[in-house]
Amino acid sequence: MKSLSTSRYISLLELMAAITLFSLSFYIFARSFASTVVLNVLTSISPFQWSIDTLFISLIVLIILGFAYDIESGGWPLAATISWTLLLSSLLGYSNTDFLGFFGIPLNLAMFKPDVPVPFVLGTGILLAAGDLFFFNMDSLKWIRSRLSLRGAPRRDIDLVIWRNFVFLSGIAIASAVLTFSGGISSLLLADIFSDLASKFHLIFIILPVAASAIISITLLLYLRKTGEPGQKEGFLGASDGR
Amino acid sequence: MLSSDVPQLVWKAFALVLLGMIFLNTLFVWFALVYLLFLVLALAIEQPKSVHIQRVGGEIKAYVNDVIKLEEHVTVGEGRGIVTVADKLPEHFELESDEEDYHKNFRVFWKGEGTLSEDMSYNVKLTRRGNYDIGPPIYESLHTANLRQVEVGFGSDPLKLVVRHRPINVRKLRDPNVLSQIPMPLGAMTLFGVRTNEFIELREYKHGDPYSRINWKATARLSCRRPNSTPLVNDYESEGKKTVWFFLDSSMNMRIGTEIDNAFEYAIKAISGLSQFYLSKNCRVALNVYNCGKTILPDTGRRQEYKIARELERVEINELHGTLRQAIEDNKWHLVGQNPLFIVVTMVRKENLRELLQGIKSMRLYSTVGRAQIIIIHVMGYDIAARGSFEEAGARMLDLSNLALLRSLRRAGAFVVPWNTKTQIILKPMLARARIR
Repeated sequence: MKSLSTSRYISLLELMAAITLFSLSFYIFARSFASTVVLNVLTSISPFQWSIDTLFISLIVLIILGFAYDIESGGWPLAATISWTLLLSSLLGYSNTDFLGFFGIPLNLAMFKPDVPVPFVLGTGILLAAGDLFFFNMDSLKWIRSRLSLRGAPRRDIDLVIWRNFVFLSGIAIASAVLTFSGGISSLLLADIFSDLASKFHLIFIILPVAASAIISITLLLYLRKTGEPGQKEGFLGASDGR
Repeated sequence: MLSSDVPQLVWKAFALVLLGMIFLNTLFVWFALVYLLFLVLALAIEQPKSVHIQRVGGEIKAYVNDVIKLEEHVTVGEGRGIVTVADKLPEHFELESDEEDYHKNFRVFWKGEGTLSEDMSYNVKLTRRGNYDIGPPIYESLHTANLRQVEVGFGSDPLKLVVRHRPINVRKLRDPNVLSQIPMPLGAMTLFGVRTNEFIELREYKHGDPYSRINWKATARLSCRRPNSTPLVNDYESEGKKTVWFFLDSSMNMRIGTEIDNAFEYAIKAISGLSQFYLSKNCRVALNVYNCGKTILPDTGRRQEYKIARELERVEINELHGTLRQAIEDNKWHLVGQNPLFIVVTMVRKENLRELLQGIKSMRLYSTVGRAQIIIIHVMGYDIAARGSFEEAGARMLDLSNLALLRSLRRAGAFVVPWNTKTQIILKPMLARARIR
């Protein structure tokens, strides 16, 4: 009974975190032209008059239902999908290419740029990614916890181990988010310098991402060659219990 | 090796980088960097390594139902993450739980910064006899973010565990109210063996008797009355020639009860106690497990005690179909001239009555002096299996229905000792039976 209430308590915290992250992305969405387009479309295809408030409440209800539907594993995938979708429309506003125009669609992506500062959008996106990592770690810890409980490990041991691991992983996730955010903010501050460079070298926007991707890919390839191919979580508790 | 969780994160990062490249949008690349940084930072941390588990003590000898404490010392030198340590125990052993539910054979530790050094201990109730080889402790080392596969390893010290039935202390059980002690074999009447100083009787001189045995005083007194009488000699018991044969029923018939608490276990307990008693009285003791044909030939002393104890540790119920009669036939050359005391430990049922009657008939052939000494210890198995008042009442009914079978065994010449394992210890019914004799 105690464990059930604890798991519900954790699920409630997860729900609150998901709603907070969703609210941030919805705020950016509401401050962009995309929200007007979406509301017009919704009003034209449904008999109701949609407003930004009703859309917000509807999505919140949807997320809560998603959590309630699968309370044990959490409804994060649904909340993440909605949040990323809302943010994506605003992010497209910062694109430096007319990608849709390439396909003959006469739509200027720049008009989707939200009416909020860029660091806010960057921070929200990083928070969404960090939230994703948080839920990814929570899933992993829940799985470990359930397996350890099934094998009959002392409850005190499990609580201690899971808590310390959670703190440690949260530390790594926060460090990743903070480092990235610092890098992002620094890059914005250095944007002027880069814009000067860009005015001289037009291909810098292609060269830099390609170079970055290449470096990442090569590093990963080297790493995989060193440690072997990814595999299953073999060994851990697949075998029968210690008792 | 990496776990299946790694590709999930790599794909997310890759998708974001791709979006960034398609739309020439650096924000996507920054978001991808969160995943990639997390991967790099998490993978840079090694999972726990240099795990050493040292067990305290290498061999333990204990009795059934003893509670022993097993201790291990766990040291982890490098890395960070979760370490599990487990001892695989035989499934019928009982783990003694404490209030905190903390002392278990499976523990989980967090390896943080610095060397992890933990003691692990737990109490186990040894519920069944046997020789157990408990392998070295098994450990698992988990990566903190579960991004690497679990490493499984073993500690260094296996454990040997010898569990025996607790011997029955006969002295403590002697009851001053009973007229006789446990039945002793009449094997002293044998002609073989070194004579002891234990006097039996005066008898007439026979050709071959040493002159030193002639009782001159008694002969003189007799000569006064009957001048032509033969001299009288003192007769003494032969040393170590009293023989007791135990026959243990290891058929499926004895399986009644649970794996830990069954008729067979009680039969072993009875033989273990009684064999020690007879060996302590300088008797030659033999053991035959009459379904699988295993025999330990008659002998005396501590060596024999050890041999019997070892055999009793190993013996198990089997599906072989050897009979009591066959066992006696197989050992007839060891029985001839011994006039032994036969003790058969079984559970008398309709199914094995005929076999027992045939066995008694065969045993009587080897009882040359006086009445055959055959004791059948009937382990009342129904009572062992009974749980709750209804089942106990049922067990009593079945026991009553068995009375006719026991009577037929008595008529055949055996002393039948019904043993209710729940209410009696083995010597009590034997002592009671001795008084009736």
